[in-house]
Amino acid sequence: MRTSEPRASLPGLARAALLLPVALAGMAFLACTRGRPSPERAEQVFRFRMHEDPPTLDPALSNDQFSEAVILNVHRGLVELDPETLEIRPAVADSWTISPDNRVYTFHLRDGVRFHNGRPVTSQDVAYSLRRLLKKETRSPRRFLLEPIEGAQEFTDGTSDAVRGLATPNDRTVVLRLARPFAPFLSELTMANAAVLPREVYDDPQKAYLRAPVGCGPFRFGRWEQSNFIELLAFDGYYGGRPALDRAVIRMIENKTSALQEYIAGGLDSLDETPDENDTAMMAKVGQEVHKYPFMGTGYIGFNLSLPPFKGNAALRKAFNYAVDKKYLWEVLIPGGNIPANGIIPPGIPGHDKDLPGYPHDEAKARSFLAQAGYPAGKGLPPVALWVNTGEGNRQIASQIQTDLKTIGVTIVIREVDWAAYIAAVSGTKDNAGQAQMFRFGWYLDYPDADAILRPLLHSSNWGPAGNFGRYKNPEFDALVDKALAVTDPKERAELYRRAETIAVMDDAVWIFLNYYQASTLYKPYVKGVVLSPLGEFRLPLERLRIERGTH
Amino acid sequence: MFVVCALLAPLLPASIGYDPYAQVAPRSVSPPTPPSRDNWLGTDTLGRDLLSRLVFGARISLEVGVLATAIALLIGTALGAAAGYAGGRTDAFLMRATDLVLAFPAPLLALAIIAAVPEPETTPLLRSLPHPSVGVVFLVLGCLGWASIARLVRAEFLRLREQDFAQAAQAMGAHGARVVLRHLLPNALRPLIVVATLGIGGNILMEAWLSFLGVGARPPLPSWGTMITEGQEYFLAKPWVCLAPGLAILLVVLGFNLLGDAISDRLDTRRRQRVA
Amino acid sequence: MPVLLAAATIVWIFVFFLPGDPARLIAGGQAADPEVLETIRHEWGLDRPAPIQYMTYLGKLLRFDLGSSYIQARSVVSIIAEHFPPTFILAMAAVVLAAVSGLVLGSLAALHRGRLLDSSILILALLGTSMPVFWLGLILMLLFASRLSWLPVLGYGMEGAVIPFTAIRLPEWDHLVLPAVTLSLVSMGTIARITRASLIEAGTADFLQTARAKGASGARVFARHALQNALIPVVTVVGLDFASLLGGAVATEYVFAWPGLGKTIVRAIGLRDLPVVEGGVLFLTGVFVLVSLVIDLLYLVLDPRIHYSPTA
Repeated sequence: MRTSEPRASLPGLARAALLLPVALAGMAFLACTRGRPSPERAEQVFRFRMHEDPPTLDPALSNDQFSEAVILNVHRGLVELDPETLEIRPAVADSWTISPDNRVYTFHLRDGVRFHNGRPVTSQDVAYSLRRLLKKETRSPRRFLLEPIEGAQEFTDGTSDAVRGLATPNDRTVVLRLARPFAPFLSELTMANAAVLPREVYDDPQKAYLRAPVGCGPFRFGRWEQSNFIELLAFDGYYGGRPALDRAVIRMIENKTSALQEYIAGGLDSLDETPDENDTAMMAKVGQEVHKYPFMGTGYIGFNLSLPPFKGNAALRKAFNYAVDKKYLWEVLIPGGNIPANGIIPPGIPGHDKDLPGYPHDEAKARSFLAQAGYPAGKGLPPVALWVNTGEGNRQIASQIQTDLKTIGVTIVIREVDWAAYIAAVSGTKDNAGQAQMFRFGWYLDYPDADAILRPLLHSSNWGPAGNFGRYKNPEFDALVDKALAVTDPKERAELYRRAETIAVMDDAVWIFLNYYQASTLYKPYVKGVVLSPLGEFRLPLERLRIERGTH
Repeated sequence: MFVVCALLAPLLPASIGYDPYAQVAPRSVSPPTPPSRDNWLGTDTLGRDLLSRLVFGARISLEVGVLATAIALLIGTALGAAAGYAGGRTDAFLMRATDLVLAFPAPLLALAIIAAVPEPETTPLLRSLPHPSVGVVFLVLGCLGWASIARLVRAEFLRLREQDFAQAAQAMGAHGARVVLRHLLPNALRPLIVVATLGIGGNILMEAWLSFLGVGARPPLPSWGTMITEGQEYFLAKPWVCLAPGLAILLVVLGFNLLGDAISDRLDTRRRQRVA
Repeated sequence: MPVLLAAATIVWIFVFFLPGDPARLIAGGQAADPEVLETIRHEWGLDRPAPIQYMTYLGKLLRFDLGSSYIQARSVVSIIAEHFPPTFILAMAAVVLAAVSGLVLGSLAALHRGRLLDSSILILALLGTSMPVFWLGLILMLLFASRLSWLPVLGYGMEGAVIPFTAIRLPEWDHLVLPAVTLSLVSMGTIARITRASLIEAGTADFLQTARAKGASGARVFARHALQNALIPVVTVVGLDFASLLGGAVATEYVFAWPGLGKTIVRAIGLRDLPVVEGGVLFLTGVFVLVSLVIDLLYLVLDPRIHYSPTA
């Protein structure tokens, strides 16, 4: 082989190799100088952000607010909860009657409701959707919502082919008969899990509906590029009239700092994070766009009452409560966010007791209770593990609690693990109590009823992995909560819940009561129709929004 | 010039006045607070003195850097020597293994393995270490990082094996292991020094990367990577919280790299002189 | 090939012993009755003895079936197919930028050896390899995107062109700039130094002077003779860095919200979505092997002195 041959080809190669990146760089430069596309189009687009892709788009499987954010815009159920007033309003059903014994609910379906594929909605679709939620094969974590219906359990078990209490006398009527009166039943039907689904899409064994859901809500599902964005398109055939927005885009941005910068640069129209209040530069830029509003939920540190040292030691739990300075936490350390909590039931929910003393920061009391608990000045108490899942805010809170407890002599070890390991350790199983002695948790309410927080988290029927991770068992508490379910007079119910809360808080100190959530969201001034819902930042009724550029 | 820079490099892990865990910021002001007379670098997101945390962080970074590299050196040298000396099938097998380890996406593996150890404080092996969660990090990094070292050692051994003094030792009837330890190893080690110093820098960067992604030193340990994560939120208003640890990493790793450079320069000149 | 088999085995063993119950995660993360968990285990073959699970796994691999994700209802292959292109594009851009700028800078340094330009370039190169990449990314983002508004802050863009016949969408090019530049700075340093070193070794400067004295055009001579020396080690670095960036760009992908494969695998680790972790790691290992092969082939092209004499 002549040595000159390959060498001749080399400069050619080298030249090509040099040209290509130059071309790329040139393209990039051109793209930069081209500038960002002008937002002033005829099209109305609303862009907001989520940390990551929603866990599921199947209403039956939805168990978190991110999935619900999408589902509640794509689907509708029999009734809906007005995000602003928290009233129950007609949706697919335009009217309903409840029998005098509070056991029979008769729904009359609206005319002209269609699915996104064009087909009209009938009562059989409603029945199909409810049965699907109950079916064992669906594996819905929220199956319990429909348990009050007569015959629901037998249907799930498979001993019966149909649900006894579910009837569709004609195309426009659905009748639900409950085994016992259940006050929050109608509220439960407003939840995302009770969406009305078209059987032809949701019977698909390939489960294509997980990536292309079809419902009867105001928006159709558009494109979904994982880790990038989800696109929702206005549905012309929506019974409530076509939404003002043409499109809604959900962008997946994990990093909070990056997301804030993107909002400021104009790439987002709304953001669920807000800058630090003391950050004068940021606040000058976006201060007027920050909206703060209460959000029905409570944050806390749970104690595992089946494990030492908290088992049977209420004094110790009270000591911990007095040691943590919640005011400092929420007003100085992480300002502008949540409100220090004195109990369990958030403000605005019937049963909330603003006079409940709770456990304000009191180092002296903390020390005395610690001694009472059998560990004077912390002596004899081995390090206690506090489990949190990875997340920028959790670490800060955990560290602060660690420091607070150190001042009275208690050593806390922080276990920060990813969600999978965290939930496994905290929930344990029916037989073993899990590993987490203390764990950080938060619970937001799906509807404005104290039952929605007291029962799932503290009722002994949910003992263990079903939700009562702290494994609290108090028959007096249970009895009060149960009674409140059967009673219909709202004043009486509120009083029962107040009493139950007092037991859990003042007598048993089941948690370290940290905060009532307050949501803080950024909205660009040209977004109109914004609803600041106590149901949370991700209750976004997109059909109410419109973009009015020109108002800056 | 290089040597001077190299000597400036690694921060001495002496403890300075304050406790890196104590919250010293005034209770009324929202942390982080700017540099002041009491806190030369200000405080971090929880009101703790940043300078002390930075210095303590040096200890952690160095712990990871040095120990991980040491473990990698141990394993790598042992395996490389075995391969280079024994030759034949042992060599082939070990080299395949090395290829395998090199082909794995190391950072992802490290992440996965560390995520699999949820409670370093109670794991028997790690419990005895002063900072168990850091222990996981350097153990994992060490166990993943031996491959390139093994390659190098093997190459050196192959080269040295043929040289006169090794042949001479064998001719005198010296036993295999003795040859290895006494004669081959010391000579093979010289180029390793360069790799080691560069490795320390690399492992420090890896530790920062792991901490940034949430696996790494557990709170309240002041790892530089964690400090960057905590500080990024406040970057525009209070940049020092995020800049300081980043700069610290930069300076330390730079120092090690310069050191490695300087050593390799000296080795090269020496080698060239020998040849000439 | 045996390397891949061994890799597959090791990955499987590791994933098998990872703590955390996949059945619970498939069931939706929180409470589930034990019998639901049992059904899930049976469906996914998680209750079969270990050796059988291993054989099934290998069998599927041979058919390029990497299994299905526990969390999403689709195959691991489709997940990789969706997330690999963005990472590929990013890594490619970074590596090309690094190569070009590294070669240029290294040449400049060699030509002006011993002077200020040389030292400054050396320092810059060292800085690049000493910095935590994600920290740099944050700084660049805050400087160029936020402060100066020259470039978009983050993301992949929604309006990029789609490659015909595939589902692959290209990024909006201005979104690629910052993350690619961030990633390139690390490799650039190494490449610059290698270039400089090999140019010096070849005694380029004097050679150039004599060649120019003879009247030959400087640039052509330079490219033809001088750079050739540097190309082999540079190609090696480029190849290895490219392969490692595919998995290692996670932090940058996180900062810039880039929908890449590294980020996907890391999330899967956190969610215990084991098939995705397994499949992803194996895929990246395979790509690395492929890249090494490509590098070896490139050697043939670049250096005619290397002959592969087949034993025939």
